Amino acid sequence: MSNVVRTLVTLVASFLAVALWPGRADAYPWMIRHEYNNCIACHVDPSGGGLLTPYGRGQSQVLLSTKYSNEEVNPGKFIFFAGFAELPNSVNLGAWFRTGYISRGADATATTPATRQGDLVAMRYDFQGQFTLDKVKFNISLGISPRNEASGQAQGAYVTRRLNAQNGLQREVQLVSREHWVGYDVSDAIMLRAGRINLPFGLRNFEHNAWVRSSTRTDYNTQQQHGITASYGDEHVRGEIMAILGNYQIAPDGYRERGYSGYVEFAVGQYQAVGFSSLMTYAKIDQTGKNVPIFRQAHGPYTRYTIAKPVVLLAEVDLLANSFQDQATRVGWTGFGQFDIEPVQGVHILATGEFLRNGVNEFSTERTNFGLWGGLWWFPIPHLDVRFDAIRRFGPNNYQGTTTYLAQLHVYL
Amino acid sequence: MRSITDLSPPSLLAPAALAAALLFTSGSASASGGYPTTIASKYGVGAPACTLCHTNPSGGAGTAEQPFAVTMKKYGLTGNSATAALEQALEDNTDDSDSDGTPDVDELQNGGDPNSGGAAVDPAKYGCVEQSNSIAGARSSSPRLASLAVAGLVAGFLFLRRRR
Repeated sequence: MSNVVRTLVTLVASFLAVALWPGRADAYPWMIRHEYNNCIACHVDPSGGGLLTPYGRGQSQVLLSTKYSNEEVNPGKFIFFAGFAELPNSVNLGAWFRTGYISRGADATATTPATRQGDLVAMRYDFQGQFTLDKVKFNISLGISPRNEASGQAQGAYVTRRLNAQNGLQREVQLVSREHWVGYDVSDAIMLRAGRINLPFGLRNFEHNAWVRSSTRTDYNTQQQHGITASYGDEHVRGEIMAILGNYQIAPDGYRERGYSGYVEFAVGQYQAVGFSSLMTYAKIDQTGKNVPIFRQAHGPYTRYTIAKPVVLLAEVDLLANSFQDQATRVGWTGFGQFDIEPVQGVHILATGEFLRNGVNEFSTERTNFGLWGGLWWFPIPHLDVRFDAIRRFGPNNYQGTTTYLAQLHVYL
Repeated sequence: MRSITDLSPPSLLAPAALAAALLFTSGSASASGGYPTTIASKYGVGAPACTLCHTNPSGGAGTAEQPFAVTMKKYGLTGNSATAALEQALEDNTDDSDSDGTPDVDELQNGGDPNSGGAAVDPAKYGCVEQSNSIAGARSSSPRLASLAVAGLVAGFLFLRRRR
Protein backbone atom coordinates (compact mmCIF):
# COMPACT_ATOMS: atom_id res chain seq x y z
CA MET A 1 0.00 0.00 0.00
CA SER A 2 2.94 2.31 0.61
CA ASN A 3 3.66 2.26 -3.11
CA VAL A 4 0.12 3.47 -3.71
CA VAL A 5 0.55 6.35 -1.30
CA ARG A 6 3.91 7.31 -2.78
CA THR A 7 2.46 7.29 -6.28
CA LEU A 8 -0.49 9.40 -5.25
CA VAL A 9 1.71 11.92 -3.46
CA THR A 10 3.88 12.17 -6.56
CA LEU A 11 0.86 12.71 -8.79
CA VAL A 12 -0.62 15.39 -6.58
CA ALA A 13 2.73 17.14 -6.10
CA SER A 14 3.32 17.12 -9.85
CA PHE A 15 -0.09 18.57 -10.47
CA LEU A 16 0.36 21.31 -7.91
CA ALA A 17 3.79 22.17 -9.26
CA VAL A 18 2.30 22.76 -12.68
CA ALA A 19 -0.88 24.39 -11.47
CA LEU A 20 0.76 26.90 -9.18
CA TRP A 21 3.63 27.86 -11.47
CA PRO A 22 3.23 31.64 -11.85
CA GLY A 23 1.68 32.70 -15.14
CA ARG A 24 2.93 35.40 -17.45
CA ALA A 25 0.99 38.61 -17.58
CA ASP A 26 0.85 38.81 -21.35
CA ALA A 27 -1.20 35.67 -21.87
CA TYR A 28 -4.83 34.83 -22.49
CA PRO A 29 -6.83 31.86 -21.20
CA TRP A 30 -8.17 29.33 -23.75
CA MET A 31 -11.88 29.96 -24.47
CA ILE A 32 -11.97 32.61 -21.77
CA ARG A 33 -8.86 34.27 -23.07
CA HIS A 34 -10.63 37.58 -23.30
CA GLU A 35 -10.77 38.00 -19.54
CA TYR A 36 -13.85 35.92 -18.92
CA ASN A 37 -13.45 33.89 -15.76
CA ASN A 38 -16.73 32.06 -15.97
CA CYS A 39 -18.86 30.39 -18.63
CA ILE A 40 -22.25 32.00 -18.16
CA ALA A 41 -21.65 34.84 -20.60
CA CYS A 42 -21.37 32.48 -23.55
CA HIS A 43 -23.25 29.34 -22.44
CA VAL A 44 -26.68 28.89 -20.92
CA ASP A 45 -25.21 26.14 -18.72
CA PRO A 46 -23.46 27.97 -15.89
CA SER A 47 -20.69 25.37 -15.92
CA GLY A 48 -20.15 25.68 -19.67
CA GLY A 49 -20.66 23.62 -22.78
CA GLY A 50 -23.70 23.12 -24.93
CA LEU A 51 -26.17 25.77 -26.01
CA LEU A 52 -24.64 29.18 -26.66
CA THR A 53 -26.12 32.48 -25.66
CA PRO A 54 -26.52 35.01 -28.50
CA TYR A 55 -23.46 36.75 -27.11
CA GLY A 56 -21.52 33.51 -27.06
CA ARG A 57 -22.62 32.76 -30.61
CA GLY A 58 -21.23 36.11 -31.70
CA GLN A 59 -18.02 35.60 -29.76
CA SER A 60 -17.55 32.22 -31.40
CA GLN A 61 -17.20 34.06 -34.71
CA VAL A 62 -14.97 36.79 -33.33
CA LEU A 63 -12.69 34.57 -31.25
CA LEU A 64 -12.77 31.06 -32.69
CA SER A 65 -12.74 31.29 -36.47
CA THR A 66 -9.72 32.01 -38.61
CA LYS A 67 -9.50 35.63 -39.73
CA TYR A 68 -8.58 36.11 -43.36
CA SER A 69 -8.10 39.88 -43.28
CA ASN A 70 -7.33 42.63 -40.82
CA GLU A 71 -10.87 43.95 -40.99
CA GLU A 72 -12.65 44.03 -37.70
CA VAL A 73 -15.09 41.16 -37.39
CA ASN A 74 -18.67 42.12 -36.76
CA PRO A 75 -20.66 39.17 -35.47
CA GLY A 76 -23.85 40.91 -36.65
CA LYS A 77 -26.48 38.53 -37.80
CA PHE A 78 -24.59 35.46 -36.70
CA ILE A 79 -25.76 35.97 -33.15
CA PHE A 80 -29.26 34.93 -34.22
CA PHE A 81 -29.19 31.22 -34.91
CA ALA A 82 -26.32 31.68 -37.36
CA GLY A 83 -28.18 34.38 -39.26
CA PHE A 84 -31.05 32.24 -40.41
CA ALA A 85 -33.64 33.52 -38.04
CA GLU A 86 -33.97 36.52 -35.81
CA LEU A 87 -35.51 34.98 -32.76
CA PRO A 88 -37.41 36.64 -29.91
CA ASN A 89 -35.24 37.41 -26.91
CA SER A 90 -37.05 34.75 -24.92
CA VAL A 91 -36.13 31.98 -27.38
CA ASN A 92 -32.67 30.51 -27.92
CA LEU A 93 -32.00 27.70 -30.35
CA GLY A 94 -28.92 25.73 -31.22
CA ALA A 95 -27.99 22.70 -33.26
CA TRP A 96 -25.02 20.35 -33.56
CA PHE A 97 -23.94 18.04 -36.30
CA ARG A 98 -20.77 16.12 -35.50
CA THR A 99 -19.67 13.18 -37.56
CA GLY A 100 -16.40 11.59 -38.48
CA TYR A 101 -14.31 8.69 -39.65
CA ILE A 102 -12.40 6.50 -37.22
CA SER A 103 -9.65 4.04 -38.04
CA ARG A 104 -8.79 1.69 -35.18
CA GLY A 105 -5.71 -0.45 -35.07
CA ALA A 106 -4.44 -3.00 -32.56
CA ASP A 107 -0.81 -4.08 -32.28
CA ALA A 108 0.25 -7.57 -33.17
CA THR A 109 0.72 -10.02 -30.33
CA ALA A 110 2.60 -13.29 -30.08
CA THR A 111 -0.49 -15.11 -31.33
CA THR A 112 -2.41 -12.54 -33.41
CA PRO A 113 -1.47 -10.24 -36.27
CA ALA A 114 -1.94 -6.50 -36.18
CA THR A 115 -5.42 -5.43 -37.20
CA ARG A 116 -7.02 -2.23 -38.42
CA GLN A 117 -10.59 -1.30 -39.23
CA GLY A 118 -12.28 1.93 -40.30
CA ASP A 119 -15.82 3.17 -39.79
CA LEU A 120 -17.88 6.25 -40.37
CA VAL A 121 -19.09 7.41 -36.99
CA ALA A 122 -22.27 9.19 -36.01
CA MET A 123 -21.42 11.42 -33.07
CA ARG A 124 -23.98 14.06 -32.31
CA TYR A 125 -27.07 15.18 -34.21
CA ASP A 126 -28.93 17.37 -31.75
CA PHE A 127 -31.13 20.41 -31.46
CA GLN A 128 -31.35 22.31 -28.22
CA GLY A 129 -33.71 25.07 -27.27
CA GLN A 130 -34.34 27.31 -24.32
CA PHE A 131 -37.37 29.42 -23.51
CA THR A 132 -36.96 32.13 -20.90
CA LEU A 133 -39.87 33.51 -18.93
CA ASP A 134 -38.53 36.23 -16.66
CA LYS A 135 -36.23 34.37 -14.24
CA VAL A 136 -37.38 30.91 -15.23
CA LYS A 137 -35.70 28.96 -18.04
CA PHE A 138 -36.94 25.85 -19.81
CA ASN A 139 -34.22 23.96 -21.63
CA ILE A 140 -34.37 20.78 -23.70
CA SER A 141 -32.15 18.98 -26.17
CA LEU A 142 -33.44 16.42 -28.64
CA GLY A 143 -31.54 14.49 -31.23
CA ILE A 144 -31.09 11.17 -32.91
CA SER A 145 -28.53 8.45 -32.46
CA PRO A 146 -28.46 6.64 -35.78
CA ARG A 147 -27.64 2.96 -36.08
CA ASN A 148 -25.97 2.83 -32.73
CA GLU A 149 -25.01 -0.77 -32.22
CA ALA A 150 -24.83 -1.27 -28.48
CA SER A 151 -21.83 1.00 -28.54
CA GLY A 152 -22.65 2.66 -25.30
CA GLN A 153 -21.63 5.99 -26.73
CA ALA A 154 -25.08 7.55 -26.45
CA GLN A 155 -27.26 4.91 -24.87
CA GLY A 156 -27.37 6.63 -21.48
CA ALA A 157 -29.33 9.43 -23.16
CA TYR A 158 -31.78 7.29 -25.11
CA VAL A 159 -35.42 8.29 -24.88
CA THR A 160 -36.74 5.51 -27.10
CA ARG A 161 -35.91 1.85 -26.63
CA ARG A 162 -36.27 0.47 -30.12
CA LEU A 163 -35.14 -3.13 -29.96
CA ASN A 164 -34.16 -5.29 -32.83
CA ALA A 165 -36.67 -8.13 -32.76
CA GLN A 166 -34.14 -10.73 -33.81
CA ASN A 167 -31.23 -10.17 -31.46
CA GLY A 168 -32.42 -7.68 -28.88
CA LEU A 169 -29.83 -5.09 -29.82
CA GLN A 170 -30.79 -1.44 -29.79
CA ARG A 171 -29.52 -1.17 -33.33
CA GLU A 172 -32.14 1.31 -34.45
CA VAL A 173 -32.40 5.05 -34.78
CA GLN A 174 -32.99 6.21 -31.24
CA LEU A 175 -34.33 9.53 -30.01
CA VAL A 176 -31.93 10.98 -27.47
CA SER A 177 -32.23 13.78 -24.96
CA ARG A 178 -29.01 14.69 -23.24
CA GLU A 179 -30.37 17.64 -21.31
CA HIS A 180 -33.78 18.79 -20.19
CA TRP A 181 -34.11 21.06 -17.22
CA VAL A 182 -35.90 23.98 -15.64
CA GLY A 183 -33.75 26.73 -14.17
CA TYR A 184 -34.38 29.70 -11.92
CA ASP A 185 -32.11 32.72 -11.68
CA VAL A 186 -31.98 33.59 -8.01
CA SER A 187 -29.61 36.43 -8.84
CA ASP A 188 -27.04 37.30 -11.48
CA ALA A 189 -24.62 34.92 -9.77
CA ILE A 190 -26.83 32.14 -8.44
CA MET A 191 -28.93 29.71 -10.43
CA LEU A 192 -30.97 26.69 -9.40
CA ARG A 193 -31.81 23.90 -11.85
CA ALA A 194 -33.73 20.66 -11.84
CA GLY A 195 -33.80 18.02 -14.56
CA ARG A 196 -31.29 16.06 -16.61
CA ILE A 197 -28.10 18.05 -16.28
CA ASN A 198 -24.39 17.74 -17.05
CA LEU A 199 -22.58 16.49 -13.98
CA PRO A 200 -20.55 19.36 -12.55
CA PHE A 201 -17.11 17.80 -12.33
CA GLY A 202 -13.63 18.59 -13.65
CA LEU A 203 -12.75 19.98 -17.05
CA ARG A 204 -15.72 20.25 -19.34
CA ASN A 205 -14.07 19.42 -22.64
CA PHE A 206 -14.96 17.89 -25.95
CA GLU A 207 -12.90 14.75 -25.35
CA HIS A 208 -15.65 12.65 -23.84
CA ASN A 209 -13.57 9.52 -24.43
CA ALA A 210 -10.71 10.89 -22.37
CA TRP A 211 -10.17 8.67 -19.37
CA VAL A 212 -10.79 11.46 -16.86
CA ARG A 213 -14.28 11.77 -18.29
CA SER A 214 -15.16 8.13 -18.95
CA SER A 215 -13.76 6.69 -15.71
CA THR A 216 -15.49 9.31 -13.56
CA ARG A 217 -18.64 8.98 -15.70
CA THR A 218 -18.90 12.73 -16.10
CA ASP A 219 -18.71 13.30 -19.83
CA TYR A 220 -21.21 15.66 -21.36
CA ASN A 221 -21.89 13.49 -24.36
CA THR A 222 -24.24 11.10 -22.62
CA GLN A 223 -23.53 10.77 -18.90
CA GLN A 224 -25.83 13.49 -17.64
CA GLN A 225 -28.09 12.53 -14.75
CA HIS A 226 -31.34 13.75 -13.30
CA GLY A 227 -31.03 15.88 -10.22
CA ILE A 228 -31.03 19.32 -8.68
CA THR A 229 -28.16 21.78 -8.88
CA ALA A 230 -27.16 25.09 -7.41
CA SER A 231 -24.49 27.12 -9.15
CA TYR A 232 -22.59 30.27 -8.32
CA GLY A 233 -20.32 32.34 -10.49
CA ASP A 234 -18.57 35.68 -10.29
CA GLU A 235 -15.26 36.92 -11.62
CA HIS A 236 -13.26 35.31 -8.82
CA VAL A 237 -14.93 32.02 -8.04
CA ARG A 238 -17.46 29.69 -9.60
CA GLY A 239 -18.87 26.34 -8.68
CA GLU A 240 -21.82 24.03 -8.90
CA ILE A 241 -23.13 21.29 -6.66
CA MET A 242 -25.62 18.68 -7.79
CA ALA A 243 -27.81 16.30 -5.84
CA ILE A 244 -27.87 13.29 -8.15
CA LEU A 245 -31.21 11.50 -8.17
CA GLY A 246 -30.29 9.01 -10.88
CA ASN A 247 -30.49 8.72 -14.63
CA TYR A 248 -34.16 8.01 -15.23
CA GLN A 249 -33.44 7.02 -18.82
CA ILE A 250 -31.90 3.79 -17.47
CA ALA A 251 -33.88 0.95 -15.90
CA PRO A 252 -34.29 -0.92 -13.64
CA ASP A 253 -33.96 1.44 -10.72
CA GLY A 254 -31.09 -0.51 -9.19
CA TYR A 255 -28.72 0.86 -11.81
CA ARG A 256 -29.48 4.48 -10.94
CA GLU A 257 -26.79 6.26 -9.00
CA ARG A 258 -27.68 8.61 -6.16
CA GLY A 259 -25.31 10.99 -4.48
CA TYR A 260 -23.63 14.26 -5.31
CA SER A 261 -21.18 15.81 -7.73
CA GLY A 262 -19.66 19.24 -7.61
CA TYR A 263 -16.70 21.49 -8.15
CA VAL A 264 -15.37 24.82 -7.02
CA GLU A 265 -13.00 26.85 -9.15
CA PHE A 266 -10.95 29.89 -8.25
CA ALA A 267 -9.45 32.41 -10.62
CA VAL A 268 -5.76 32.76 -9.86
CA GLY A 269 -4.95 36.16 -11.24
CA GLN A 270 -6.28 36.85 -14.70
CA TYR A 271 -4.90 33.94 -16.63
CA GLN A 272 -5.32 30.81 -14.55
CA ALA A 273 -8.07 28.95 -12.82
CA VAL A 274 -7.66 26.13 -10.32
CA GLY A 275 -10.51 23.92 -9.26
CA PHE A 276 -11.35 20.87 -7.21
CA SER A 277 -14.07 18.35 -7.97
CA SER A 278 -15.73 15.70 -5.87
CA LEU A 279 -18.27 12.99 -6.57
CA MET A 280 -19.87 10.26 -4.46
CA THR A 281 -22.64 7.97 -5.65
CA TYR A 282 -24.36 4.79 -4.51
CA ALA A 283 -26.17 2.27 -6.71
CA LYS A 284 -27.72 -1.08 -5.86
CA ILE A 285 -26.33 -2.64 -9.04
CA ASP A 286 -23.09 -1.44 -10.49
CA GLN A 287 -23.04 -0.70 -14.19
CA THR A 288 -19.67 -2.40 -14.48
CA GLY A 289 -21.55 -5.67 -14.29
CA LYS A 290 -20.81 -6.66 -10.71
CA ASN A 291 -24.07 -7.78 -9.15
CA VAL A 292 -23.48 -5.98 -5.87
CA PRO A 293 -24.16 -2.51 -4.51
CA ILE A 294 -21.38 -0.02 -5.12
CA PHE A 295 -20.29 3.17 -3.45
CA ARG A 296 -18.31 5.10 -6.05
CA GLN A 297 -16.05 8.08 -5.47
CA ALA A 298 -13.92 10.42 -7.58
CA HIS A 299 -12.04 13.41 -6.25
CA GLY A 300 -9.35 15.59 -7.71
CA PRO A 301 -7.97 18.97 -8.77
CA TYR A 302 -7.81 20.53 -12.19
CA THR A 303 -6.46 23.66 -13.77
CA ARG A 304 -6.68 25.83 -16.85
CA TYR A 305 -3.41 27.64 -17.18
CA THR A 306 -2.17 30.04 -19.82
CA ILE A 307 1.56 29.52 -20.18
CA ALA A 308 2.07 32.00 -22.98
CA LYS A 309 -0.38 33.78 -25.25
CA PRO A 310 -0.94 30.93 -27.70
CA VAL A 311 -0.32 28.08 -25.25
CA VAL A 312 -2.85 26.90 -22.69
CA LEU A 313 -2.54 23.87 -20.43
CA LEU A 314 -5.62 21.97 -19.32
CA ALA A 315 -4.85 19.42 -16.60
CA GLU A 316 -6.86 17.20 -14.29
CA VAL A 317 -5.97 14.42 -11.86
CA ASP A 318 -8.59 12.30 -10.09
CA LEU A 319 -8.49 9.60 -7.46
CA LEU A 320 -10.98 6.81 -8.09
CA ALA A 321 -12.40 4.62 -5.34
CA ASN A 322 -14.94 1.84 -5.79
CA SER A 323 -16.38 0.09 -2.75
CA PHE A 324 -18.28 -3.05 -3.68
CA GLN A 325 -20.37 -4.65 -0.96
CA ASP A 326 -18.41 -7.05 1.25
CA GLN A 327 -15.17 -6.24 -0.51
CA ALA A 328 -12.27 -3.95 0.23
CA THR A 329 -12.31 -0.60 -1.51
CA ARG A 330 -10.52 -0.68 -4.86
CA VAL A 331 -8.40 2.34 -5.68
CA GLY A 332 -7.43 3.72 -9.06
CA TRP A 333 -6.45 7.02 -10.62
CA THR A 334 -6.72 8.92 -13.82
CA GLY A 335 -5.12 12.02 -15.25
CA PHE A 336 -5.25 14.25 -18.28
CA GLY A 337 -2.93 16.97 -19.53
CA GLN A 338 -3.44 18.84 -22.75
CA PHE A 339 -1.45 21.64 -24.33
CA ASP A 340 -3.63 23.72 -26.64
CA ILE A 341 -1.42 25.73 -28.97
CA GLU A 342 -3.09 28.32 -31.21
CA PRO A 343 -0.37 29.78 -33.48
CA VAL A 344 -2.96 31.42 -35.74
CA GLN A 345 -6.49 32.25 -34.71
CA GLY A 346 -8.71 29.31 -35.42
CA VAL A 347 -5.91 26.77 -35.78
CA HIS A 348 -5.19 24.64 -32.72
CA ILE A 349 -2.44 22.09 -32.24
CA LEU A 350 -3.27 19.68 -29.42
CA ALA A 351 -0.77 17.60 -27.50
CA THR A 352 -2.41 15.40 -24.88
CA GLY A 353 -1.28 12.80 -22.39
CA GLU A 354 -3.42 10.74 -20.07
CA PHE A 355 -3.31 7.77 -17.73
CA LEU A 356 -5.78 5.41 -16.10
CA ARG A 357 -5.83 2.74 -13.46
CA ASN A 358 -9.45 1.60 -13.37
CA GLY A 359 -9.82 0.88 -9.67
CA VAL A 360 -12.40 -1.83 -10.29
CA ASN A 361 -10.44 -5.01 -9.62
CA GLU A 362 -7.96 -5.93 -6.90
CA PHE A 363 -5.07 -3.52 -6.92
CA SER A 364 -2.40 -6.09 -7.68
CA THR A 365 -4.24 -7.28 -10.79
CA GLU A 366 -4.62 -3.88 -12.40
CA ARG A 367 -2.07 -1.72 -14.18
CA THR A 368 -1.78 1.90 -15.18
CA ASN A 369 -2.48 2.46 -18.85
CA PHE A 370 -1.23 5.46 -20.80
CA GLY A 371 -2.47 7.44 -23.75
CA LEU A 372 -0.91 10.02 -26.04
CA TRP A 373 -3.01 12.16 -28.36
CA GLY A 374 -1.89 14.50 -31.11
CA GLY A 375 -4.48 16.67 -32.79
CA LEU A 376 -5.05 19.44 -35.30
CA TRP A 377 -8.24 21.45 -34.94
CA TRP A 378 -9.28 24.14 -37.42
CA PHE A 379 -12.20 26.56 -37.37
CA PRO A 380 -12.12 27.74 -41.02
CA ILE A 381 -15.45 29.60 -41.03
CA PRO A 382 -17.95 30.48 -38.35
CA HIS A 383 -19.93 27.57 -36.97
CA LEU A 384 -17.82 24.90 -38.57
CA ASP A 385 -14.67 23.11 -37.50
CA VAL A 386 -12.68 20.10 -38.59
CA ARG A 387 -10.38 18.06 -36.41
CA PHE A 388 -7.85 15.28 -36.88
CA ASP A 389 -6.51 13.18 -34.02
CA ALA A 390 -4.02 10.38 -33.65
CA ILE A 391 -4.44 8.47 -30.39
CA ARG A 392 -1.96 5.93 -29.05
CA ARG A 393 -2.94 3.98 -25.96
CA PHE A 394 -0.60 1.51 -24.35
CA GLY A 395 0.35 -0.13 -21.07
CA PRO A 396 3.20 -1.93 -19.39
CA ASN A 397 4.39 -5.48 -19.94
CA ASN A 398 2.56 -7.26 -22.73
CA TYR A 399 -0.38 -4.89 -22.97
CA GLN A 400 -1.69 -4.81 -26.52
CA GLY A 401 -1.47 -1.19 -27.63
CA THR A 402 -3.96 0.51 -29.91
CA THR A 403 -3.52 3.33 -32.39
CA THR A 404 -6.57 5.25 -33.52
CA TYR A 405 -6.94 7.91 -36.17
CA LEU A 406 -10.00 10.11 -36.07
CA ALA A 407 -11.27 12.80 -38.45
CA GLN A 408 -14.25 14.89 -37.38
CA LEU A 409 -16.52 17.41 -39.05
CA HIS A 410 -18.55 19.61 -36.75
CA VAL A 411 -21.25 22.07 -37.78
CA TYR A 412 -23.08 23.97 -35.09
CA LEU A 413 -25.59 26.79 -35.00
CA MET B 1 -9.88 37.79 -50.76
CA ARG B 2 -13.29 37.69 -49.18
CA SER B 3 -13.57 38.84 -45.64
CA ILE B 4 -14.93 36.39 -43.16
CA THR B 5 -17.82 38.77 -42.67
CA ASP B 6 -18.81 38.22 -46.28
CA LEU B 7 -19.64 34.65 -45.60
CA SER B 8 -23.39 34.36 -45.69
CA PRO B 9 -25.33 31.68 -43.86
CA PRO B 10 -25.92 29.67 -47.06
CA SER B 11 -22.15 29.26 -47.18
CA LEU B 12 -22.67 26.86 -44.37
CA LEU B 13 -25.09 24.73 -46.33
CA ALA B 14 -22.43 23.02 -48.41
CA PRO B 15 -20.54 21.56 -45.45
CA ALA B 16 -23.86 20.89 -43.78
CA ALA B 17 -24.97 18.94 -46.83
CA LEU B 18 -21.71 17.00 -46.76
CA ALA B 19 -22.27 16.21 -43.14
CA ALA B 20 -25.83 15.19 -43.92
CA ALA B 21 -24.55 12.81 -46.54
CA LEU B 22 -22.29 11.24 -43.97
CA LEU B 23 -25.26 10.84 -41.66
CA PHE B 24 -26.77 8.13 -43.80
CA THR B 25 -23.65 6.04 -43.86
CA SER B 26 -22.38 6.54 -40.34
CA GLY B 27 -21.98 3.51 -38.16
CA SER B 28 -21.59 3.07 -34.47
CA ALA B 29 -18.82 4.55 -32.39
CA SER B 30 -18.13 1.27 -30.70
CA ALA B 31 -14.56 0.17 -30.14
CA SER B 32 -15.63 -3.41 -30.75
CA GLY B 33 -19.26 -3.07 -31.72
CA GLY B 34 -19.41 -6.42 -33.53
CA TYR B 35 -18.71 -8.47 -30.41
CA PRO B 36 -22.18 -8.28 -28.78
CA THR B 37 -23.82 -9.26 -32.06
CA THR B 38 -21.47 -12.19 -32.52
CA ILE B 39 -22.07 -13.54 -29.02
CA ALA B 40 -25.83 -13.03 -29.32
CA SER B 41 -26.06 -14.93 -32.59
CA LYS B 42 -23.59 -17.65 -31.57
CA TYR B 43 -25.41 -18.61 -28.39
CA GLY B 44 -28.93 -17.45 -29.20
CA VAL B 45 -29.02 -15.09 -26.24
CA GLY B 46 -29.56 -11.40 -25.81
CA ALA B 47 -26.67 -9.15 -26.68
CA PRO B 48 -24.43 -8.71 -23.66
CA ALA B 49 -23.67 -5.28 -22.26
CA CYS B 50 -20.32 -3.57 -22.79
CA THR B 51 -19.50 -4.47 -19.21
CA LEU B 52 -19.11 -8.12 -20.13
CA CYS B 53 -15.58 -7.04 -21.03
CA HIS B 54 -15.24 -3.38 -20.04
CA THR B 55 -15.09 -1.89 -16.58
CA ASN B 56 -16.84 1.20 -17.88
CA PRO B 57 -20.51 1.05 -18.90
CA SER B 58 -19.69 2.97 -22.06
CA GLY B 59 -16.77 0.72 -22.96
CA GLY B 60 -13.71 2.37 -24.43
CA ALA B 61 -10.03 1.63 -24.88
CA GLY B 62 -8.10 0.73 -21.76
CA THR B 63 -11.19 -0.46 -19.89
CA ALA B 64 -11.47 -4.06 -21.14
CA GLU B 65 -10.27 -5.31 -17.77
CA GLN B 66 -13.11 -7.53 -16.61
CA PRO B 67 -11.95 -11.06 -15.67
CA PHE B 68 -13.67 -12.49 -18.74
CA ALA B 69 -11.91 -9.97 -20.99
CA VAL B 70 -8.55 -10.84 -19.46
CA THR B 71 -9.24 -14.50 -20.14
CA MET B 72 -10.33 -13.85 -23.71
CA LYS B 73 -7.24 -11.77 -24.41
CA LYS B 74 -5.18 -14.71 -23.22
CA TYR B 75 -6.86 -16.72 -25.98
CA GLY B 76 -5.98 -14.17 -28.65
CA LEU B 77 -8.89 -11.74 -28.61
CA THR B 78 -8.12 -8.23 -29.83
CA GLY B 79 -10.20 -5.15 -29.22
CA ASN B 80 -10.75 -4.36 -32.85
CA SER B 81 -14.03 -5.93 -33.88
CA ALA B 82 -12.11 -8.92 -35.22
CA THR B 83 -15.01 -11.36 -35.01
CA ALA B 84 -12.94 -14.26 -36.30
CA ALA B 85 -10.59 -13.83 -33.33
CA LEU B 86 -13.61 -13.71 -31.02
CA GLU B 87 -15.06 -16.89 -32.49
CA GLN B 88 -11.74 -18.66 -32.10
CA ALA B 89 -11.20 -17.40 -28.55
CA LEU B 90 -14.68 -18.59 -27.57
CA GLU B 91 -13.90 -22.01 -29.01
CA ASP B 92 -10.61 -22.21 -27.14
CA ASN B 93 -11.76 -20.76 -23.83
CA THR B 94 -12.16 -23.49 -21.22
CA ASP B 95 -11.53 -21.20 -18.25
CA ASP B 96 -13.79 -20.25 -15.40
CA SER B 97 -12.92 -16.57 -14.97
CA ASP B 98 -14.98 -16.01 -11.82
CA SER B 99 -14.11 -19.40 -10.26
CA ASP B 100 -17.75 -20.23 -9.56
CA GLY B 101 -17.49 -23.74 -10.95
CA THR B 102 -19.17 -23.00 -14.29
CA PRO B 103 -16.97 -22.42 -17.32
CA ASP B 104 -17.24 -19.04 -19.03
CA VAL B 105 -18.77 -20.37 -22.23
CA ASP B 106 -21.43 -22.32 -20.34
CA GLU B 107 -22.35 -19.19 -18.46
CA LEU B 108 -22.67 -17.24 -21.70
CA GLN B 109 -24.86 -19.94 -23.21
CA ASN B 110 -27.11 -19.84 -20.15
CA GLY B 111 -27.35 -16.07 -20.20
CA GLY B 112 -25.18 -15.81 -17.10
CA ASP B 113 -22.29 -13.56 -16.24
CA PRO B 114 -18.82 -15.12 -16.45
CA ASN B 115 -17.43 -12.28 -14.34
CA SER B 116 -19.41 -12.89 -11.17
CA GLY B 117 -20.87 -16.02 -9.72
CA GLY B 118 -24.51 -16.47 -8.95
CA ALA B 119 -27.62 -15.54 -10.84
CA ALA B 120 -27.38 -13.01 -13.60
CA VAL B 121 -28.99 -9.66 -12.94
CA ASP B 122 -31.41 -7.97 -15.26
CA PRO B 123 -29.33 -6.08 -17.78
CA ALA B 124 -29.65 -2.32 -17.82
CA LYS B 125 -32.29 -1.05 -20.22
CA TYR B 126 -31.79 2.26 -21.93
CA GLY B 127 -34.60 4.55 -23.00
CA CYS B 128 -38.11 5.03 -21.73
CA VAL B 129 -40.44 4.28 -24.62
CA GLU B 130 -40.15 0.65 -25.64
CA GLN B 131 -40.61 -0.31 -29.28
CA SER B 132 -39.64 -3.37 -31.24
CA ASN B 133 -38.79 -3.39 -34.91
CA SER B 134 -37.60 -5.99 -37.33
CA ILE B 135 -34.20 -5.54 -38.89
CA ALA B 136 -35.73 -5.00 -42.32
CA GLY B 137 -38.18 -2.46 -41.04
CA ALA B 138 -35.55 -0.50 -39.21
CA ARG B 139 -33.22 -0.35 -42.15
CA SER B 140 -35.90 0.92 -44.46
CA SER B 141 -37.41 3.48 -42.11
CA SER B 142 -34.32 5.04 -40.54
CA PRO B 143 -32.88 6.75 -43.64
CA ARG B 144 -36.32 8.03 -44.60
CA LEU B 145 -36.84 9.64 -41.22
CA ALA B 146 -33.40 11.21 -41.28
CA SER B 147 -33.87 12.39 -44.87
CA LEU B 148 -37.14 14.07 -44.01
CA ALA B 149 -35.60 15.75 -40.97
CA VAL B 150 -32.64 17.14 -42.90
CA ALA B 151 -34.79 18.19 -45.86
CA GLY B 152 -37.15 20.00 -43.51
CA LEU B 153 -34.27 21.74 -41.80
CA VAL B 154 -32.74 22.98 -45.06
CA ALA B 155 -36.12 24.08 -46.42
CA GLY B 156 -36.83 25.99 -43.24
CA PHE B 157 -33.51 27.76 -43.38
CA LEU B 158 -33.98 28.73 -47.01
CA PHE B 159 -37.51 29.99 -46.31
CA LEU B 160 -36.37 32.13 -43.43
CA ARG B 161 -33.43 33.39 -45.47
CA ARG B 162 -35.72 34.45 -48.35
CA ARG B 163 -38.02 36.35 -46.00
CA ARG B 164 -35.20 38.56 -44.67
